[in-house]
Amino acid sequence: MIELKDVCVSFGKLDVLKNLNLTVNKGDVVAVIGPSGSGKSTMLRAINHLEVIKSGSIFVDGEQVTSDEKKMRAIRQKLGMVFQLFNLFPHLTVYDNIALNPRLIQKLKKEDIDQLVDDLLKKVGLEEKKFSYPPQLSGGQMQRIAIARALAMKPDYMLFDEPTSALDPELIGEVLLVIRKLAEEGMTMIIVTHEMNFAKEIADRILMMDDGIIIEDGPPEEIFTNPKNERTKSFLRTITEREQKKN
Amino acid sequence: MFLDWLFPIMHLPEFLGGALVTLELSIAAFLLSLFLGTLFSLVRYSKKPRLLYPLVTLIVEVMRNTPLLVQLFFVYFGFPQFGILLSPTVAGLSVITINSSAYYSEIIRGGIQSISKGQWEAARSIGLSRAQVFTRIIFPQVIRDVFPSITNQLVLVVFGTSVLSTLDVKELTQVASILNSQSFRSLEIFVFVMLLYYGITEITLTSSRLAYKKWFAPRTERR
Amino acid sequence: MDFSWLPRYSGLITKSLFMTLKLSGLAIVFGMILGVIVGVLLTSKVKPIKYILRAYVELFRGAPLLIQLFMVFFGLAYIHINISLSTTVILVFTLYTGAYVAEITRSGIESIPTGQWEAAHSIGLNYFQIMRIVILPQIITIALPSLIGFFIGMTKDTSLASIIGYSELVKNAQTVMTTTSRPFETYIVVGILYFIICYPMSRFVVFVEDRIRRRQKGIYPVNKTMVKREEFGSA
Repeated sequence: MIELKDVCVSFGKLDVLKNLNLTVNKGDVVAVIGPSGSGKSTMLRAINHLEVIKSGSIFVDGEQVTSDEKKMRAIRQKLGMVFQLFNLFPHLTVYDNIALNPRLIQKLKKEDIDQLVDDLLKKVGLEEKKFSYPPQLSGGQMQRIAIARALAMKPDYMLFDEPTSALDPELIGEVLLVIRKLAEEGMTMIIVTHEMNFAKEIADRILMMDDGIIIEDGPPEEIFTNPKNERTKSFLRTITEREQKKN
Repeated sequence: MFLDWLFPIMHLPEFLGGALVTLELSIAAFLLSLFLGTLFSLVRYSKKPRLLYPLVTLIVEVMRNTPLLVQLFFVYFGFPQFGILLSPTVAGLSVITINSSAYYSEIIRGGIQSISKGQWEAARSIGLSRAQVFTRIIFPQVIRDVFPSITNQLVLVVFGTSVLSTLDVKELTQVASILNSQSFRSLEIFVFVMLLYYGITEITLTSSRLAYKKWFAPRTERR
Repeated sequence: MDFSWLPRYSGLITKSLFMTLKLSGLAIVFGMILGVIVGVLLTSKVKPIKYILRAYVELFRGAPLLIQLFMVFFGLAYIHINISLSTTVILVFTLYTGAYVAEITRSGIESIPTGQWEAAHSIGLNYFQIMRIVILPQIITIALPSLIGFFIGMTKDTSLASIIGYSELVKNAQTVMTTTSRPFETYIVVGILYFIICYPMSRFVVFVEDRIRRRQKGIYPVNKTMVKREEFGSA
């Protein structure tokens, strides 16, 4: 279980998260939507201590997220993070990118690592790229490898920070496919995304954020068809208008 | 063995005199070599005129791959063998100038090469002549792009003037050397002079940064 | 022009060439070790260390090498620390190289996108592992042209050691020049020797820069609002 209690984050004078409260249970698939600057990414990154909390507390399975490097490393092992800009290590092969954590932290044996990498590459559909280098891959391929790298930690939770926002449109589908598969397998995940249709499909819970707080929290049927909050309504309207104009 | 830090301050006039000579030499060498270097870069970039290109390339590569001190001694001690006698200052200034031009040549040439072809094509397509394209469109962008490198080379020119102390040119380093041999208060003198040079370097870098902000930055950055 | 004296002095010239190479070699090796350590420390968050090391780097990059040589050479004798000329010269060149290498290393480290750090933290690596596996390997390629460029410059700068009496190529050339009364030819020979050492390294730098430029397309996903600017004060 991931708990956020009265979490406040500020960048200088700007308050980005204001007394945020949230509980995510094992098995939940949570999609976080909202306008730019609403604090969605900041909330996600705060869980992994990539942003420093001004006040409040975050608990992962009962352990508090803290600045203590050693404690944080144990917590991070449970949190698999996928970034908007992929952040693969360009000078290492795909195999090495994925094998880093199993090799150095989990200290698995070579045969186990080989097996793990092969299984993960199969899962994301990129077995043939095992010894390629990230610059040789397309954006969609890189993101799928990034997902495999995060899964190599055997995490309990997966955090996706706008995983498809930096991708060309035709490459988005292959990444969403992998994420959907993970959700179907029961992985607990929090996805910050702009892909509304995708969110509607796979999430069992939608969070709408605006201006540093969660303004709505409910199942997709409720949020998308019958939003309670005015701001949610206008946000969804602009999104659907844009989608319609595209078609 | 006590250290007298007042000593350098008591000789401030001499040090400032030396610093002035350093600055005069540096600025003269800078302006001359920037001009000469630009001419060289044009020859190096366009590889024409056919006869000048190999000569300029030779000058540039020799100046960049041999030490300044050797170049200096070659001119000051070697030329008299053929009857060409130069004063230390003239010899020193000429050598530093040509040396620095070689570096400016490559800096500017690199800058010209990094301007995308699209700029040349667009400029020609609106009717500008080759010379106009270069002076109005290309060269201004080159200067903006290589401005930091030009500044860095200027700092190296200032450092180069210190080598002229070997020819008894009365710039800052030579003043320090002379004072040192007279009084032997070495540590105080050279630490002081080192700080003086550091000050000159900082002033150069800061003014350059300000100049860049004023002339180029408003047109480069996104608001 | 008369080069007939050349065979007679070839032994001396070869020996002094060797001294030049020895000096630059040692300065490069020691300076690299010092410089990389200082460069990494400059990116740490511990303020006192940062300020002291920053002062060292700024001083040794902000003043001419000749002054640094004079300062250490005369200064040490002045406070009654007696070390050999060789050691003094190697010490100064090491400190000089260290300062420049530190700056190159530091700016290399800071040029790696923060995303790389974040991803590395998120898969559980500690600081040393991140430096060793993710950061330093990537800056080697970036820093190589500047490093080699600096080494070329430093090899030429060893000529300054002649001024305080160190017996490298230029110092012995002065002996040759006075005994043969042929400074013109002497310095041509000396120049050619330096050229033979430095020119291939210069071509190598061009080669490396080309390779990097070709590989650089598409290594990091590009944030479209980034404006590329050169750094000031990185001589």
